[in-house]
Amino acid sequence: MMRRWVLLAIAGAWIALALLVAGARWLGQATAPRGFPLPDNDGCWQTLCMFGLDPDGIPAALGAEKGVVSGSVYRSPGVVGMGETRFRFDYVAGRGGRQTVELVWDPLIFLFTPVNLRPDGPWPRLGDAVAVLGAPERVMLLGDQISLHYAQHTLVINSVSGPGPPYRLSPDDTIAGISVMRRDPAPPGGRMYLLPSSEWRGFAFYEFE
Amino acid sequence: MRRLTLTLQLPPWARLTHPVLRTVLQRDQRRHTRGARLLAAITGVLMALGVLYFGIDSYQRDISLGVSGQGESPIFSVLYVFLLLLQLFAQIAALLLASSFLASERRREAWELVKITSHGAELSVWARWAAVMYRLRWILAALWMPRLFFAGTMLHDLTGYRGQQLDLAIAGVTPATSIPAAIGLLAAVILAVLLQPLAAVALNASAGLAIVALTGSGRVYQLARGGALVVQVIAFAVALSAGWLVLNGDPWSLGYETMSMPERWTSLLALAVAGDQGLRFMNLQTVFRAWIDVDFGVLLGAALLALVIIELAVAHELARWAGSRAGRPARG
Repeated sequence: MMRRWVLLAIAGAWIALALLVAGARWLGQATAPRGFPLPDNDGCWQTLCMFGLDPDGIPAALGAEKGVVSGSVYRSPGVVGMGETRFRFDYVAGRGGRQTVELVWDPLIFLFTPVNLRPDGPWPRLGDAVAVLGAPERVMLLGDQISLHYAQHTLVINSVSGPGPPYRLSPDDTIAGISVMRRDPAPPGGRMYLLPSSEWRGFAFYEFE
Repeated sequence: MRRLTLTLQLPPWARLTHPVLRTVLQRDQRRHTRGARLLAAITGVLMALGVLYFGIDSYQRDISLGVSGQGESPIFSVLYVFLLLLQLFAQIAALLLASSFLASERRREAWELVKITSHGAELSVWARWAAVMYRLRWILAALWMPRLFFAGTMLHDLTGYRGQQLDLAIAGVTPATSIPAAIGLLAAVILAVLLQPLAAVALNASAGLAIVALTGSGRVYQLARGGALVVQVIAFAVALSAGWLVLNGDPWSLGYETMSMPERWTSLLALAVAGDQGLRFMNLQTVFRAWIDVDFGVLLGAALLALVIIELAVAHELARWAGSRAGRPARG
């Protein structure tokens, strides 16, 4: 009798906890995302579509976007590479702090990078980005950085630590840069990636081949 | 209207109104003077504060004590060693209290009188088991409160990454796991870890009673009790070191590299049962790391919950056996 009561209580608690876990997951999905939004596959960030823009018109267009602090957009002096232009602006979202972001713009590719990353800022973590973009096509190791490659997006992470591979990817990893490239769809056999790289295996240890 | 209370579900010998339980508790209280009890309480509180200070100091110096330092909250990092030692203390206290309750009764030679009464010995053993749980109630509460808090934190963390934490965690898990299965398995981890301290204390109390029932109250009893304590502490140390090696995940260390997947799986289970009683699994990122780093790690929660149920069943059977054994007529 006693044993039956204990088993029933454990089964009841397990069902209740499973409902709480499912509820927490649902709540997270139902809550409107806060933080720096990722650019989409068409090269648009919020309502601003980057490709084919006149660089002179970017500061005004950036300033009109949601979350961009008015008056914070300016064109950085100097040239990064041929045809590239840099802009800086401050972004705020929800209760998070203000984050300065640099946009490096080129007619074929653009890149967002955080400047003096603040832990309480709205800049996304790797988990946020993978939750939106899904599994990448390939994970690559380049020097002391790991990058996740998608059809259009590339996420760069400064997470390499320790004497050598394997390196762990974690949802909490900081993204050092988010770039979107205008490029053709992958050929039927899939895109070729340079070595050392690895297929996506989730947030695990990676040994690059 | 009929009032439903928890005591309705408790057997009579576990209720404070039961005369045998009351007698056991009163007799135990009389064994020590008020001054001795106060001194013990002050010493205990000072030791607890010392361990807590040690935890805070280590955290401030960025020294990871038993935790990996990857994704654990400051509260978790500070409390880990404190709770670990408190759990070990509760286990040892359960064994010693249960055995001393019964052994002292037998030494006073009052046991033969108890045995004459119908179900007297069995009832008396169960009452002593309940007395142990009652005596340790504040320690059990102190162990449970942080676990409940950490369970709440885990649920809160699940809302992160746009509610995709679980989805991200099961990508790359072996064997491939669906979301409904992952929900059930995570619930099993949380439940098992919440129940584990209770199961461990219950099992130790039953073991203490069984030792007295088997060995009497003489020198063999002292040896058996000492042996049980030594085995417990050794199992604790071995399980902790094996589990930490897997969880604290230094993939470049020789110890980690040479461990096979079944060894890693067993080490994690041993850590949760005989080591830190699953405390490390009260952190969502740690659970997910165990799922992805160890093949079939996703099934650890189900295995742990099954073991907790087995522990509770063994504790029940052991106490029942101790009761029937203690009720047998003395030889010669």
